[in-house]
Amino acid sequence: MKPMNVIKSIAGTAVLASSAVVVSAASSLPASAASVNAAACATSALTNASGKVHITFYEATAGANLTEIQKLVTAFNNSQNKVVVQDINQPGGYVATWNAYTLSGGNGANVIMDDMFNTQAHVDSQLTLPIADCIAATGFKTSDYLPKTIVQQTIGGQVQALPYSMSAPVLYYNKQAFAAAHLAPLSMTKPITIAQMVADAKALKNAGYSDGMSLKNDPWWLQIWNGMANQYFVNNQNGRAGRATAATFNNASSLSLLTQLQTMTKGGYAKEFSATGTGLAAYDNLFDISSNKSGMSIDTSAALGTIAGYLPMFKNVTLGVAPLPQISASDKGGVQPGGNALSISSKNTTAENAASWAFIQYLESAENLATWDAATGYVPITTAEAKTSTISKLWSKHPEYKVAYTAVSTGTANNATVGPDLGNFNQVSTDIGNALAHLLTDNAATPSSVIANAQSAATADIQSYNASIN
Amino acid sequence: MPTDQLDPIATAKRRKRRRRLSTVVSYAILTLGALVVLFPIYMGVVDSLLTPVQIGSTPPYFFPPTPQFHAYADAFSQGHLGHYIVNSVIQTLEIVVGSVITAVLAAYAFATFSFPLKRTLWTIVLATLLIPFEVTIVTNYKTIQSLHLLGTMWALTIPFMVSAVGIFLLRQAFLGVAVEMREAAVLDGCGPMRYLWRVALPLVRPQIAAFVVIATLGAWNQYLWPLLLTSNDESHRTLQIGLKTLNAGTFQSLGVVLAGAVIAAVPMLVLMVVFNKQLVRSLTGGAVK
Repeated sequence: MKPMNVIKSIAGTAVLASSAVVVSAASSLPASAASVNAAACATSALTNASGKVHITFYEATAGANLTEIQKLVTAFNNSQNKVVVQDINQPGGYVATWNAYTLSGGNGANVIMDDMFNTQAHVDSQLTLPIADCIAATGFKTSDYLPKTIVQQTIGGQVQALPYSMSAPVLYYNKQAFAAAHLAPLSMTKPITIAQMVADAKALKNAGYSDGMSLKNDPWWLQIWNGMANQYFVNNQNGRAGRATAATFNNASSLSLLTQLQTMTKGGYAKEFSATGTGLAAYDNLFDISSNKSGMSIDTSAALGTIAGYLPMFKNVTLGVAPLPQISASDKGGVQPGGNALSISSKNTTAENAASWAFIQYLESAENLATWDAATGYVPITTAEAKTSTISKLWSKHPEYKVAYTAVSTGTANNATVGPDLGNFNQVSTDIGNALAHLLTDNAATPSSVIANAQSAATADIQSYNASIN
Repeated sequence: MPTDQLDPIATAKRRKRRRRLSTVVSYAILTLGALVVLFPIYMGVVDSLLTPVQIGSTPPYFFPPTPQFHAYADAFSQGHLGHYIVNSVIQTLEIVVGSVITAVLAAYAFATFSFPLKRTLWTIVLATLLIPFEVTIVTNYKTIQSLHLLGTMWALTIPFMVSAVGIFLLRQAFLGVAVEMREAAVLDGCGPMRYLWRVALPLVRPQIAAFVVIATLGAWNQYLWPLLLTSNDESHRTLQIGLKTLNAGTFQSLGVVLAGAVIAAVPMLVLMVVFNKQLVRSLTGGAVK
């Protein structure tokens, strides 16, 4: 582990320990749904409030996303006269934002934007209000949301956070490279198999693209591939029928996947790239394409705006986007969504809850969602948003922006396909990321032992986390 | 036995040749090491002056054909780096001044006086060197919170105003001051503080300068603590935190991000060049008794 990661890990553990202090009875989780408390988010509290209600909003966006969210906050503040939102950008990303919020005892912010997969940590900390309370208080409809996003945010029978920004990994490729390798352009709706991806990488290498494919060691994809294959990543139905106590991703699908990925790196027709690179290093897989070393790479759809603005600057690149390949052609799960969701602090007054919910509802109106997604590269999260003129025009002009939406919309939304529910999601992801890096850089490593070791490490971390909150 | 081995002139020439060869090899290795260290910094500066396409080109550009200086202006205008630099300067000054004062006083006491539990206290001071700051971060945060200092510059600086490294470094320096100097000063009617101020401090000035350099480097480059402390307080964010807001996630802005990084590094590079001797002295301090 790199020294900086060790420091981050120590700091994260320290903060985790502090958050564990505030946990009391959150251990045995969810299945029996707690009753919804609509009174906690009563809109009358806002109506009856004397003067304006001031609330604070934590978000960890950067660059163009930051500019856009600031515009939306300003627009909300100007659109009504009861609520004033102060946007406080957190430069350290989701983890640092959650740590800061936890250390403040939930008093740092009234609304927080956080990683979609960190919601179980919210529940465990008891520092956020189940958003179901506000949904019940206002009769807000979630039926229009892509089903996977709502199932993913449902813990203990209640929607805990409202999905906001959605992304999914897609396959980026250079159409010119494919043509040089005598490969047909890929479908934008029907995913190829991993086996086909391996064959294509080999063909690219033979056509003179020395690295074949640029392959990031992103742990997110292993869980997505398991979901596509309708496999549980952790036990107790991905931790959604009861608290997860063990990882279960050591299965035939994972083994087949890792074997094929390693075949590529071993054969020299895929080059491994770190998924944790920052600055220029975060784009090394794309530089590999622009420099004609590789012909394709997998990356998040959230980077599409960046990629679409960059790769075509090179005359040797014609950008193509395809759905994430799947392990088997018979996999029906579709891609699981990633991104972020909006939560409300449990330390708010009722008036602050109502103000926070009014703000969230504003952000999540179809038009504002469309504005946000069009400016940032995120994917529509509701069908109403997908039908707005903003998104229709975008998809009509740039159909590649629709690929991730179609991939997430495909398949059943169930506990397997939406991914794991873990309180220490980041820790488990690190275990898997380390395993993937090992597999793809050490030809002597065997996929079976790598996946077994990763599962053991993840299980140990899950059990350690569970013990800490007990 | 060959005659030239008996010839002192030949022997001297041989030794001179060996010394010259040894010097050449040493300098070659040092030059190579310097290149390894300096090359990434040089490439950072070059990349900050390139267009996005040039940054991603293969082979890479080792010299900017048409330098894009606007990235530096953008870093200041878009990233508000001016504000962050002012905050960093204030934070660094507070930490350096505070830690020098406490280190001088504590080191002087440990080096000069006898008092109960001195050895135990000294062991505790040394033991703190083994504890990473990250371990104490939660406790420190809660302390600052309970003192109602959140949202102030003091929150960023108070936990760093006592430095075990500084106390250790200066204690060694004070121990190097001859006891006779103090005895003479006392005989002349000098009190402990006057002796410190008039006699001891001037003698350990080089070590203090060395500690100032170390403390400045540490304070300027802080990240985790300011990040945590300014989560609700954008007005006190420092340069290292501000740089993160430049991370726009677009290729078009990579030059601006790199320009920001270069700007952040310049003060420390200047410090390193100007106070090079002091820094080396601090690293070798205590090596020879």
